[in-house]
Amino acid sequence: MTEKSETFLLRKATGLVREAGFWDTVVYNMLPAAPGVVLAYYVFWLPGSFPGSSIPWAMVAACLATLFISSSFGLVALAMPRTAGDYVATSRILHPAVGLASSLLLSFSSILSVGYWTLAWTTAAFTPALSVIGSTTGNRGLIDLAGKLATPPWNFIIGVVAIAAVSYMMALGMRKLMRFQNILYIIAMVGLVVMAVVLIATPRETYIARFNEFANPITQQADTYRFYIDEAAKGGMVTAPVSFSGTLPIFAAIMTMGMWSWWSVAFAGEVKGTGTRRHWYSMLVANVVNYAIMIILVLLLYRTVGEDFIGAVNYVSAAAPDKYGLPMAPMLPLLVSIIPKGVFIPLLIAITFIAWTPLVHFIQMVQPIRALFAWSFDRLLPAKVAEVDERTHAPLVAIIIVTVIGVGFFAWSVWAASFFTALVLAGLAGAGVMIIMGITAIAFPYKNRQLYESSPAKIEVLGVPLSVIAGVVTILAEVLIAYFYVTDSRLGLGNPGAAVALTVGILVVGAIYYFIARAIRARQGIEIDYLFKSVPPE
Amino acid sequence: MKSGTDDLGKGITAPMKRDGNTRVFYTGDIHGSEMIYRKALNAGAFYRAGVLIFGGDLSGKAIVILTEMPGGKYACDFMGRHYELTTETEVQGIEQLVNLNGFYSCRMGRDELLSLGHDEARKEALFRKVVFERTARWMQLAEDKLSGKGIRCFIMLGNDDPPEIAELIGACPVLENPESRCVQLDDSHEMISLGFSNPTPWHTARELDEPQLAERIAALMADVQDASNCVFNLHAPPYGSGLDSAPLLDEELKLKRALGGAEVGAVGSTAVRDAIERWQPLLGLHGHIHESGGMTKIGRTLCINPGSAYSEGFLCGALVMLNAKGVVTHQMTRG
Repeated sequence: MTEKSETFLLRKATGLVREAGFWDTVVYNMLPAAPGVVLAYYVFWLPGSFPGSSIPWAMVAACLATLFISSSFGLVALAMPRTAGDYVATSRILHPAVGLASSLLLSFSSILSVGYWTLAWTTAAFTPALSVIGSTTGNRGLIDLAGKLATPPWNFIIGVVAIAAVSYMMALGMRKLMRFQNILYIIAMVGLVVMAVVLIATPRETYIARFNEFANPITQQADTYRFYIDEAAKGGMVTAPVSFSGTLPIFAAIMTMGMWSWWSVAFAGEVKGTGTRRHWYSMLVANVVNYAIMIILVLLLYRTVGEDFIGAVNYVSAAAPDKYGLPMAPMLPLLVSIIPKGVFIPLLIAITFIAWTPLVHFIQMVQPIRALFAWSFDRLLPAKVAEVDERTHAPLVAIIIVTVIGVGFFAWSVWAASFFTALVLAGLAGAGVMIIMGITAIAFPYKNRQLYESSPAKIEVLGVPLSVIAGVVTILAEVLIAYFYVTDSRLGLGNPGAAVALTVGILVVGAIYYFIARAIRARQGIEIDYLFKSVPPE
Repeated sequence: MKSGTDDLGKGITAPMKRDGNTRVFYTGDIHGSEMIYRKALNAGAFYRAGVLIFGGDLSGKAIVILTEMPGGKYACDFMGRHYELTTETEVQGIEQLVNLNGFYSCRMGRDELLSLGHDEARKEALFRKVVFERTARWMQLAEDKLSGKGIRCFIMLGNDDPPEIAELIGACPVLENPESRCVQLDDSHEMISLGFSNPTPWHTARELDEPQLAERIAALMADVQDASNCVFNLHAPPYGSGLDSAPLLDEELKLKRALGGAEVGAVGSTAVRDAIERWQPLLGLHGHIHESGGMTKIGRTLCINPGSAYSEGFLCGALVMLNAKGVVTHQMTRG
């Protein structure tokens, strides 16, 4: 029996499937910048700190830039669907030492994110959910407990339990993990949809009344909504008309979380049909859908909650916590969950928001685990690292390594750094990886001509390969982002010189490690070069 | 010890040795890719290997039809792009591209294509014809590239190969088909080979139920003198080894979905696994599951599936150095 698609006949052969999961890959690529997480933790402090900035316009610019960044990864992945990811593609197109260095830097960024996301989860999702439950049920003890659990060492203990739970789920094997991910994703999306509906249905006047109803008994103010706006102005919060120069730095801030919609590059290309561009499209669609959701929610929040108020309440919360007074930070779940009366919807919003962060956790942990696997298979690490459990087929050694380092970074985030420092440091490392990938995308059509010519990645605009254009824009965007990370302390880097030294240092260590491993293996009769040198077909 | 090579009468009597060790290059799942096949034939010289083993699945999976248009032009869709070909040079260029990527090209008039429609027997015949023609040409290519090089080259059929092409391999003076017998790789190592797989959802040309696979392997082992130094060249990977993880399918051959892509599970052979656990050979060489390349140990046995990236033009392989005591070194290659 055969199938026919007009001019393409398939025979009865192993591996031919009817359909790949396009939308599954779209969802996967949305998760690194999951709208719920970005909006909850990392957007609304910006207006108070960056006068003259526009979040919606910064998001439009970030969306456009990320289309090109995703294309740098996606187009190369079209040509190398089974072996792409930055490691193999960069190794083959540029140099193996560069590939290993880039992969090490990306793994650092991913594991660091395990640390700061855990911190965010404990202080901005888990304990706030307890606060909301306490507030809506009038349980003062629960509110106090939430406040206590949000500080060290309790947040560290809760976070370690959360990391261990995620690692345990991964150790159960991919099938169980994926089912668990599906459940969490549905839960998280339900919360987001409920939130959007609540915002659409609520006019500004109603919101102010509901907010005051919630906050006045706690702050002992007659009009807490107006009080925060006035206090922010008195406290020195600067406001300015929206401008290009005011918006540019927050482009970097938005990109820190929103430039990762190519995340499936190393995982989703394992099933290839007849050379379609679906995988690349899934990255572009994920990026557009993510930013569309975020921009719509931001505009809804501005309409219902008020842009001035959001900036002011975040400013007061950070600059004058004694005057802020509320039991949790003014993040998205709080701002929206106080709108509906009753207990059910506030609880639903608070609890569903807990589901976002483990989703991000999973995918951030998968990348370094895969990298450890790849390095081990390539004999750059001991074979033990790639050992899998007989029963679950899970890579236990690699999971343990990533978990231990992740807990270390979490401890660093809790006691020695901050959420924003760790986040921007991970962003700076990511920028380094993407600059290297931009160079890879530019070199690809010229260094691997035959592969380029025979692949779906061959798309040209006015005679210029699209991968070259994507690579150039990627480099420009990432250099701009790195510039703002280093020069604008408001983004969170307290010691930019050390951050740059660390980023460059990881790259140098990765490259040096490659040459050392290569020399050691050569003495053992193993030639690492065979992984990256093409056998001539002639 | 038995001498499998003496029976062939092809003048290939001893494997090329390097530094007193036997360097074996193993690859598989070439699936019609001319570029990968050419690279595989050159792998002996490139990796300084005296023994080449191709572990099954030479045949490609699809035919790209070049539809004849009025005025002697041709049209086709390939790799996400539509081509209108006006000159013979352009047509030949696309045919070469198609062939390099592991597909078969076939020129056909529109009426002929329409009449092919749902005639499954004619389609099957067309596939057999193009597979046979390409394999025949490849045998000549092997002769051109390997004659006088002192490299032993074993080529076995896999589950996706039509059984008829075994005759072509058998007739080629520089190739040995090791399947269903025990051959002597060098003074210390024997090899048994079986290209059949356990049942797949596609019901391919060469599949056996697990008990039948177990019987075949047991029959082969009856000829092996020293199981502990034996090489198992078995196309199907051992079940649950991590070398056999593949996307799971529903009854309509659609991928079972999960967040982030396909749901993955073990699809290898339990008979192969049982055999490895029972006889504990030195080395297991496997293929079949392209996306599950890797190495693992089952007891004392080193099992390798190099995976396959034939559609990307990379020759995935494993380079293993053997001596009388066992495996000296092993590594993956991506050429």
